[in-house]
Amino acid sequence: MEWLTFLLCLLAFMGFAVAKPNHYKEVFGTRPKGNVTSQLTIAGWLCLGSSLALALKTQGAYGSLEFIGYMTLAVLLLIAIFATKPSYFRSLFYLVIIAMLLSTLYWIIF
Amino acid sequence: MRESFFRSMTWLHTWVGLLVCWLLFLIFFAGTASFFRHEISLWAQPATHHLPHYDSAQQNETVKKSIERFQETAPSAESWRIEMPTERRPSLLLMYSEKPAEGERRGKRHSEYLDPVTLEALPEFRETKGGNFFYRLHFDLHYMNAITARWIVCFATLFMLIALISGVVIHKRIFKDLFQFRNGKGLRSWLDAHNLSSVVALPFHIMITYTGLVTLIFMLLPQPAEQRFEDTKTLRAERYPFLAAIPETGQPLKELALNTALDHYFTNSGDAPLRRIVISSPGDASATIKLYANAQRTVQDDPPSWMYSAVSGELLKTHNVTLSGAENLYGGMIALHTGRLAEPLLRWLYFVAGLAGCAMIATGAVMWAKRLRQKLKGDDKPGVGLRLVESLNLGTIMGLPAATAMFFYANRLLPMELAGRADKEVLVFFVTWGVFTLAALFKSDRLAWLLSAKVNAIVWGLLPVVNMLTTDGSIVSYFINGQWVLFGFDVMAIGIAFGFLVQAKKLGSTKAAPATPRRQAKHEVNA
Repeated sequence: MEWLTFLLCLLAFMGFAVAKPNHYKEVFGTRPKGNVTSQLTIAGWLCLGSSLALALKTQGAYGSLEFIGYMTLAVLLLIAIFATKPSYFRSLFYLVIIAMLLSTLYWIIF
Repeated sequence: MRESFFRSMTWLHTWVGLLVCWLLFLIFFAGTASFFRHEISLWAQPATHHLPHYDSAQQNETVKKSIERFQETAPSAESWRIEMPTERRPSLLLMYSEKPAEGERRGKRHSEYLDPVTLEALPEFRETKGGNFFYRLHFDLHYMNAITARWIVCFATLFMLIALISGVVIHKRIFKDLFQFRNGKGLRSWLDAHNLSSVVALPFHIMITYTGLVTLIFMLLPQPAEQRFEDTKTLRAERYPFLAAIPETGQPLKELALNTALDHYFTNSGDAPLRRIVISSPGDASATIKLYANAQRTVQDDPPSWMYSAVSGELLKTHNVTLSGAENLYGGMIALHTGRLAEPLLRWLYFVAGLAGCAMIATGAVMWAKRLRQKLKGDDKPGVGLRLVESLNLGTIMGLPAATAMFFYANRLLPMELAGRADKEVLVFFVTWGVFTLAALFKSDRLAWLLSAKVNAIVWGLLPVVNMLTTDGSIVSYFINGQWVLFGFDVMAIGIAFGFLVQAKKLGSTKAAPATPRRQAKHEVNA
């Protein structure tokens, strides 16, 4: 469960990151078209909201503290990626999605 | 209007920050280390390294055995106190105070650390402060009166809060450039690092600063409490109802009603294990038994506690079992600050956020000096202020980690029978820090930074080796035996050494960072 909370939080900040035109360009090579930026931002907020909701639902007040820590960790990770190899962003995205599926499955089964 | 507002905020942020940055660095540094207070204490006390994991199912038995031991060793003590082993503190601590001699307020206190299962004294127990040194340093500083120190820390914290708020106002791009770190761009990189270290843990920074003030609130803002209570005595009586003295009867106590009290506790405390047991006036018929729960993950700092009559085992008083709104808020804020509730994952998150705070203060202080140095024209000599700031930066930022490493060396290398051993360890800490700062007053250029980085890398890198040579464990045996706290300590030391090595490599590379053009530097002030 804690994994899912963290992954959702990370996904949220990944959304916020590529919602910024310069980072979008670093990852995808082109500038964002149309209203992609606002869609990414909304998706980011949705993920962040679900992450917080999950943290509160499973761990209560303690979970909200962990959630704040997860935000720090997520942003640190993304800063490291953008400062070194922005191309890893895509791989990280796939990794996060797979890990989310696995942790959801684990949550449902156990 | 807008321009002048930002200008005054920038002025405020710069000067308020600079004035206390070294003290704040010390407070943040010590506070961050304190999150691992018990882990550091465990490392510092090899006698406890081989204690097995304590199973709280044995609590009943441990308490009974401890009481029997007290009845033999200190039957006429004023009070007995048992600190139960926890996940983080594997040994059992038994303390008792003698009755005060005539004219004295307190009797002599005795304490011993024991194996919680056999109740045998731990061999080769060394006199050391361990993690408690950093915990006290965080708010009592050292070599000064604790109250004066707390006032100083209070004002530094207030300044920190002002710097944080004005910082959010002036660095208005922090959220826009949330993920931006431009490496190798001189002053620009320092600004990025300052912004990033503050914004990644901004909720933590604001929380820890604000709740830090709350921990000292009765000292900083006593008026509301003074309005409500006649004097500090009545306030203390309400805040700590268990402290009220019960007069002794002079009648001997026949039998301690411990079983009744424990039964009541275990039925009413939920699943919370015991954290502390205090028995006051154990030989007298006025004796009481106080049982304190381990609050575990509850966001409350003071544990719920129950007080029983030792004669009948009847419940006399409870404390923190049901909380008013205000108590909940106050206790909750203190709990957020101290992080005692944190289990390993959250503890590490606290630690990372604390490190970000140290980085924020350090980069801010370095940036001030760099900016001023950049403004110097060709032959200008740097002023006294700039030289002083540069020296203090080097002395504090590089000196404190080295002093910490030396503190750990002293723990391992000072002879066991040395008188005042614990204080000598602390002396080593301050002497190292003093030497760094003195040296920095003479020389604080790139070469001095490079040298300090190398010294730090060496002392931290050799720490696991010295540990291996002076104790019967090593990083390998810790890994094999699953002693994760000790393993983590060694890994941390190697990690820190590696960090300083990277810094040394960067400082030593001949290609100096390109200087930022002055116009751009001016623009950055408002960035």
